[in-house]
Amino acid sequence: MYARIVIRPLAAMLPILLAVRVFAADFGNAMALYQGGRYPEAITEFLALANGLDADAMFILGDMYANGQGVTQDPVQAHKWYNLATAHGAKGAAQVRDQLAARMTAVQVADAQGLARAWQPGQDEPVTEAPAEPAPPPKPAKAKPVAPVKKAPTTAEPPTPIRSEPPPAPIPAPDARWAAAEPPPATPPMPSVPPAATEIPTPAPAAPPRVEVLPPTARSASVAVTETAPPAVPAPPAAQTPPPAATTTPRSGGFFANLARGTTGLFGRSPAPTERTATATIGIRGLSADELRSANPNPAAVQQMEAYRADTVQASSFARDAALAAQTVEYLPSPTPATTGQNSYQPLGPR
Amino acid sequence: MMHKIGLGLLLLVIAALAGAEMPAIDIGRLVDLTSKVATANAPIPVEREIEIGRGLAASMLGASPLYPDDGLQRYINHVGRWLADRTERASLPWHFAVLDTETVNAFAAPGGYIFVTKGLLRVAGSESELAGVLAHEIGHVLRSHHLEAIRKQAMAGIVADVAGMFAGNRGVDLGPLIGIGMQVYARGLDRDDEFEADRIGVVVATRGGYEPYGLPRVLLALNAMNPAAGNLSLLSSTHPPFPDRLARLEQLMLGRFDAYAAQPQLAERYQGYCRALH
Repeated sequence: MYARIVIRPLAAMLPILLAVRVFAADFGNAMALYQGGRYPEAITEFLALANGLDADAMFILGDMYANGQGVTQDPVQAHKWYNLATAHGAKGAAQVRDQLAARMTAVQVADAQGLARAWQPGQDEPVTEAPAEPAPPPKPAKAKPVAPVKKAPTTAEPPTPIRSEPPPAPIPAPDARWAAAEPPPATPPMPSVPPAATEIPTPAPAAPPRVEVLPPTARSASVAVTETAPPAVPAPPAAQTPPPAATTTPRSGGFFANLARGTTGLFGRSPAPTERTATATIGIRGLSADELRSANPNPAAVQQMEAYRADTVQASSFARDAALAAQTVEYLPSPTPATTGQNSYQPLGPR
Repeated sequence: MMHKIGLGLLLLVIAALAGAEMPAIDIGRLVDLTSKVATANAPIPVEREIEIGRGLAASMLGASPLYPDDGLQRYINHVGRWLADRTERASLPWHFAVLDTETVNAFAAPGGYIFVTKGLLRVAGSESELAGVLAHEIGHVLRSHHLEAIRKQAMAGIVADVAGMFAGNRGVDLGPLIGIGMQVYARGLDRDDEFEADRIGVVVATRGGYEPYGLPRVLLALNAMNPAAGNLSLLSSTHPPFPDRLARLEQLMLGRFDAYAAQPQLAERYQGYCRALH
């Protein structure tokens, strides 16, 4: 890097020899875009800088691929850029690269190393901001959960958009899968705010092809509930026809919806209060994102909050009053992306 | 060596191509990028975590006042503390508060500062549902979701002495971290963090002896509300869609919680405290 300081004075003399300016990207500008969450623009800038052998730009390109910022999350590409950053002298890039490599398969690492070796300045054209792909579906940010890595960076299928990012354009996209079942460790720290405020959620789309892995287990589990459940537990969805009450909760189905319609309390309460709340408060803006961002601290209120604190003895006594008995329950396993990414409440609902 | 010389030459040419617009080296950025690696995985002292959480609590209470009902505030501290004591971080100084706003939401700050809004208390219908919500927020604290989101953002940004802030150095102004944290509330956590907090929430509520389906019931009730209502917009824009959360919980809970299905919901005790919400 310091070489650049030295050569800057010399640099002024050389343009005479070379008529074409290859790039004029500015690192500060690129960082500003990156920090502002404007990833597609930032990646264009960083790619241009990387073509100029800017090691820090390469480092950050690695981050963007590792985190799926503006591109489809891709450990192979991330490794390639960390490796290139290391080769060009970015401090710490080797460590990050090695941490990443520890979570990749040998084949992935080999692929990434091959890509790094084959890399030449200029081969990665800057990502264009307006992708040539079909326009994203109307509700990109809310439509479905995203399986963070499993999806190849194909053209955006309408039912399963990859956040609201444009497709990752001309960068070669090798196999984009993480090693083993370990979930991807890094995801964007600040997903852009989805345009949810005025949108009405639509029913989840019909099950995409990959859902076939899900229902069998879920179904058999629910059958087991039928056979063993005490009467208080509502009948499972598999044993039911679509209930008429579905109109009250049009966007939900499945076991919990039946639970809600059961006799254990929620159904008797839910429709009235929630609808009253919804209609009564339309137009009330409430606590908005802007108010959170611009809030001035109120230390006195924190002290008041802290004065309400309950200790263990008080809490236990309060629980005993209501005959609450502590139980030993293990945490639920973290499902693998393959079994959750395409899950949607609608497809699992009663048929 | 030859490689380095070659690289230097290449840099020379590239710099020439860039001409006079070549940016000067930003030493501060280099320092940032160096400390970034060291800061990324260092453990954060719990005292510093609480300090950050307290700062966020102050800003949260600057955005919305406490609901003026001592009995209700103590009530949710009893419920919340009972739940938090069932977890691996029972030693934190857990604090809970009801915010006086019709917005339907709940928030967690590092160190165990948990907020639930009056609007959300209206939607919930029983203590087990409140427990599900509080346990979800407790889950965020257990897994340091906000703390890590803040650290990640701070490291990506141009915040001075990020390492010192997270290492617990004294005399460091944490203001920038609080600002970042409030941005996290405004923009939301990663959706996987929310799913994880859901998974923790149903378990911790069940550990507390409550009927396990309190959190799903609240999600169902929220799902039935008009999503365009102003009081739901922040929650909707910062969380995965309710049907997705329900689907994931359903898949995990089916068959595993039957033994606890008869645990109490405590609707009456809850409504005794919340009936008079104004």
